[in-house]
Amino acid sequence: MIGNILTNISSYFAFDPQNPMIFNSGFFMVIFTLFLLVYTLIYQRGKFMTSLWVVTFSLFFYYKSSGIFFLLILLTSVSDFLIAQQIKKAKTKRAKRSWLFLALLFSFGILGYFKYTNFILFNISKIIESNFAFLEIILPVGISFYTFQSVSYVLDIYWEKMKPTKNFLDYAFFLTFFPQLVAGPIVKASHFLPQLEKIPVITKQAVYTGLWLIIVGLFKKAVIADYVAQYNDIIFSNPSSYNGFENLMAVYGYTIQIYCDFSGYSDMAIGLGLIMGYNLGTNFNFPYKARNITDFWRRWHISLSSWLRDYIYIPLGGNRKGKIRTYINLFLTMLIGGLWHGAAWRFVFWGGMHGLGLAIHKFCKKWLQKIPDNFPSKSVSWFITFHFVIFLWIFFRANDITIEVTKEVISNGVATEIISKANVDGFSVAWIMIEKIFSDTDFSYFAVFLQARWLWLFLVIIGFAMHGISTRKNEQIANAFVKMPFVLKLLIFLFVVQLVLQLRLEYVQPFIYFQF
Amino acid sequence: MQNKYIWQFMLLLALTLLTFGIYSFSDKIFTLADIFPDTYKNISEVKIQDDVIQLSDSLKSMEHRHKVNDVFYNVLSADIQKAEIKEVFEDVSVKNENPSKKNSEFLKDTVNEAFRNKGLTLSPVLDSLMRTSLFKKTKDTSSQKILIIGDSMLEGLSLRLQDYSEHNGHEMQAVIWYSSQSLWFGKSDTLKHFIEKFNPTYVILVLGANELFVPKIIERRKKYVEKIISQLDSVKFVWVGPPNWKDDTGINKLIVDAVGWDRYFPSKNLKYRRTKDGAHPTYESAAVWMDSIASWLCNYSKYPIKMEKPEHKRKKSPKRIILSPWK
Repeated sequence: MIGNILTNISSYFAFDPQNPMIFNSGFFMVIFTLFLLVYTLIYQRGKFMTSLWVVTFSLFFYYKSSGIFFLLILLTSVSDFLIAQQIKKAKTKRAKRSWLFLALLFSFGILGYFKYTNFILFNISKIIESNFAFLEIILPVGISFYTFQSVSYVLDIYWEKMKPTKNFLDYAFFLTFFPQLVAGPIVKASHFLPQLEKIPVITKQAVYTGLWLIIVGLFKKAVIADYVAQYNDIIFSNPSSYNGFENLMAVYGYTIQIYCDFSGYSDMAIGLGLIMGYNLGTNFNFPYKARNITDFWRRWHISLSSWLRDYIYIPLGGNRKGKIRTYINLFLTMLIGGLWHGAAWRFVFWGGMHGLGLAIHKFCKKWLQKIPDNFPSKSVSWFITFHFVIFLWIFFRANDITIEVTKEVISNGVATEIISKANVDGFSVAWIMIEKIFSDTDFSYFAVFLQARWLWLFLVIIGFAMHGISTRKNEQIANAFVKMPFVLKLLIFLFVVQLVLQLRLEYVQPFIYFQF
Repeated sequence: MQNKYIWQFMLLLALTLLTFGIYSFSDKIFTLADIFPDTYKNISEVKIQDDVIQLSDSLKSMEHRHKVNDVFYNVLSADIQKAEIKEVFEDVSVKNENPSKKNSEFLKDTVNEAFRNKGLTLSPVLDSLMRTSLFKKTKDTSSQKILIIGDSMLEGLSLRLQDYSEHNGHEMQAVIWYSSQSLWFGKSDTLKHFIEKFNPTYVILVLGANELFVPKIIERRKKYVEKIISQLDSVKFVWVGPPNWKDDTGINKLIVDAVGWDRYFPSKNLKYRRTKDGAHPTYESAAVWMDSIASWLCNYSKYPIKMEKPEHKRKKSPKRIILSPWK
């Protein structure tokens, strides 16, 4: 019996590809508590021990999510650390550039191999009309995120915006820090490394703001997103079988799902960081409130958009090389941003369209500014922005599917349904949905829908209603939570955990952004 | 103390864990997958059915079947298929007497260990186990004329069935109707035609893979399934369910409701290596599938027949009739 228990416990610590470790799991809660216990005991006593403990735990966390690939992130840490020193030491511009090139080649090479090899093979085979066997490549979790962090470090060193860290453990701490490791925020080295120079001061405000963020994140991710996803998945996997109204609902549903999933996970990451005394920045700021597309990108995945701005848009020339180049730069930056999200043309399209949107907005800005800033104009601009964004989400979500095509054939007076299978690529799926929405939407279906899916609708509405809270009000609520008596906080936390468990799916939805 | 609040926070976490930890004893928080992770481990191509046989053999040796069942029900009550299990229990009309605590603990451990040792997935095993009788039936050892008929899934199955037939002295005939569905069989008299033509003593129907995703399947296909069964009335038959590659919309339930657990083989519980189309098992995998079907056929199906496992895979083509899709 005891042997069995030990076997069970030890199996928890082994890598299980089916169950990557995510914040909203009971297991994470248990080991995080254990981690924090040790952390609290040592963090004021010396940097070395603390860093070693955090890095070890982070690597274990990564091992639980990606198995042997934790060595890959370790390798990237070592190479970045060493190359950054060389960039600093190099005397000539040419030498500096060579070292930078090597670092970028290394980081992007690994990312490229794991993420884009099959995409490239697929396209080549389309072009030369051949049939390559795809390689079986497993994408290490979070590789897109930490690669960008690693690149931010070497580029900042190259541009002499910061000095390379002398302590390898500090660098490994930065790159592998478990709260942001697998799904961001993409923390810049220049933002994070200075925080490691001193012992963190952990205040009441930090701890309980952290807890508040975890509660909010848990609610968004595990209550709203995971539940709402179930319906969306059904529709997106076979849109032609459902009417326009159901398709439309799935699009709104996905809009809230991706926001709650991603921002919820970010909130938890930021909250965990705060509790340990580190600031990971902000990643979302009520994005669906945006009244123009530029504003949207200031509010959505802020750490990525600012990364793209600092390390792609500005190096490309930003807005310093004339209007036409500005538009082109915007477009290219977003195209790359699109490709970062996934190795498929629909992501490229998604990014490109956002780039186009940004360029058009910039182009029209001088006229738009003349429009009086009143309620009707605000509403219209919000409406256009919001629907532009969700229109593009369709392409973002619609992946290739296999559907059944039913055809009724009458032969010898007997009607027969012939069902055959057909592969539909993501683009076509998106068009099917759009066509359905525009040709087959009957709003009187709402009553039926409400009856059948009231909980789903309720959660989607809550997701959107959260956007009604102003930033100031949001801070006030967080502060009020911090000031609450301990017991009340405990009760709120228990309540949310209970809610999560009640709505928990049979299989927990893997986090959407894991795959990027 | 500077880090007072972080301690406070840990207390909060600990209290939460404690609350839900205690609560978990009522099986509400941690599912069995959390408590017994290795029993839930995914298995590769393990012949579940064989293992089930061994397992139920070991259960059989324990006296008091109702106690075993009771324990199963208690142990597995958190499983998602609770309702289904209950249904099965009602089916076999097991009288629930409360077993003594000691005994039930003993059985619980034994059952768990049995699962664990085999590294089995709990649900599929449970499924298979519950859908078959726990006890072997008396076997009909005479040689049979087997007709295996159905959709393209039969390609792989019939090859291996040929080995079985040769080894056990049966005669077999395969009829593959590509892309066929219950709808086609229900509407046509194809089945009746071949039964009259070959006069089989045993029919194995392999059907359902082409209608995994038919919406509202129960209401749309029920009558056809019933028509199929009425055509099979005169012979002993079993229905091999489709090897799902995704959750179906109800075809498996439709079949099992119509034919009963002992005439239905739950192929969806097995794991397969698939060909490039993602649907059909590879020949190797289909052979393992047939092995599982065979051991179920000879021990647990409604009409057990002789189905000893042949040593070699000959890959000799059986007698086959191919029907092209109905257009």
